[in-house]
Amino acid sequence: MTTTTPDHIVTHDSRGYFRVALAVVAPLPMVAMGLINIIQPFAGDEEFGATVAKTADHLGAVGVASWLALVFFAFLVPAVLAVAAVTRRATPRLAAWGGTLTVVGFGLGLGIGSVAPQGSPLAYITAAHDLDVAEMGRLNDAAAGLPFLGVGLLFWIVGLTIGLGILGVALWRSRVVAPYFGIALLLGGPTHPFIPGGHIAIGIGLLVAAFGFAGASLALLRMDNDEFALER
Amino acid sequence: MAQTTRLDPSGGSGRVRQPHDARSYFRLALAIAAPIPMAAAAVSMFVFPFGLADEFDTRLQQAAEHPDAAAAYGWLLLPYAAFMLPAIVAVVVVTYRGAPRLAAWGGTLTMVGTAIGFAMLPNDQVTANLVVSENLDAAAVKAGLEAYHTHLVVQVSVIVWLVALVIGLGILGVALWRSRAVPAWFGIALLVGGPAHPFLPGNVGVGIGLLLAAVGFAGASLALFRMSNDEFDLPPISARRSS
Repeated sequence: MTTTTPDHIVTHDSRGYFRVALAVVAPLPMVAMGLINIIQPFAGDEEFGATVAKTADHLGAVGVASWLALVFFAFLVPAVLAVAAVTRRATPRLAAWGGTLTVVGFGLGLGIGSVAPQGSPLAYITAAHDLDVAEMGRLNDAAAGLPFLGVGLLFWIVGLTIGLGILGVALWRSRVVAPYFGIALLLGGPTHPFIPGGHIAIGIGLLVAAFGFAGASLALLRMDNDEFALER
Repeated sequence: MAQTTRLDPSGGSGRVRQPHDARSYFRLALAIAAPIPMAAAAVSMFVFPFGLADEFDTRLQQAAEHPDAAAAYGWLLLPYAAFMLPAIVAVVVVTYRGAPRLAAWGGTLTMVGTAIGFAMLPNDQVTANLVVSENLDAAAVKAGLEAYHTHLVVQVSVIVWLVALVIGLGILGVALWRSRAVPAWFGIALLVGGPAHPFLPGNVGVGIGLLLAAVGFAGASLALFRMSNDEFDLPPISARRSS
């Protein structure tokens, strides 16, 4: 589409790109994290030494998971933006609350949660390079005890449980897609950390959340550019 | 804004609920958030003695010499992490109509690269501070960090992060400049400060670069403050009756 103003000519319309790009990426992070939980032989809350031992026994699978993690990190916030974009006009308050809690919480979770080596990445390095498990365990515990890291992770959990739940309600109530997409996000997003049954059950919970995010994809692919954003 | 009711435009006798209008919230929230991350990072460079590219041994020495700074250092990372991604969204929202291609390229590269950099690249200074404060084995931790950086997925993350900082932020600066949403020097500040700050000499040099980038992001804030809700986004609609 071509738009002309007297002193400034804009010949390109990027709304189609943003709309389709958000639609494509929306389900990817939760699919990636769901698969990570299914193929990794441990849950995220296990003791460090046990995680290192299980990682050593499944080094290839955990290595694949580290690549899948890139997909999760890259597209997590764009996926939230996709849900906010499709719900902001019909359920503005829910989109505003859910979008804010998740974007801020996920930014803090990504930026602060990994500020020092800890968790499964440190366990992978320890196992792959035969490092001193006790010393790396002390590093892991020290990192986990940082007060500002605790604050960052608190926001991450709020984003994951309350923020994603609100976005699920927003998707449901906005009626831009069938209600079961919103219900899937509402159930799979906030509850997956608490699902009993170990890492595979958590992974399935995340895949349910991914289905909810796919509702945003469907809505974005169905709408035209004029329903998506202002032209000029 | 309070939720209101109006007469049914279809001619019925009922009343239709007017949805809340959250456009002011989104517009002002993005405007307020936009300059915060780079300003916080600049303050961090001015206040703390820790350099951006110091060797790990130098970081250990600095942490030992400045324990109070080491304890406070991590807290200034919070505003940076919380608002960096919204700041990128703010620039994209302001520029996607005036400079659509640039907004699409710059927004995509910075959003993806920043998130990956955040999550995949530990902060060596925080790690050095931990080694000193918790009396960890410095040689073992250094060996762990070096082993981490030998992995391909980490090396790819470093490249994507640098592309976001150097190319992505640069493109967003050009987008802000070319979109004419604000005076050109805001875009030029982002174009210069964003990509150049990692390569400037000393903490003060890096801090000035980050401050320039913050001024550029403040251009997006100014544009958002100036525009009306109708210029910012489509109006709210009633939820559809069927899916």
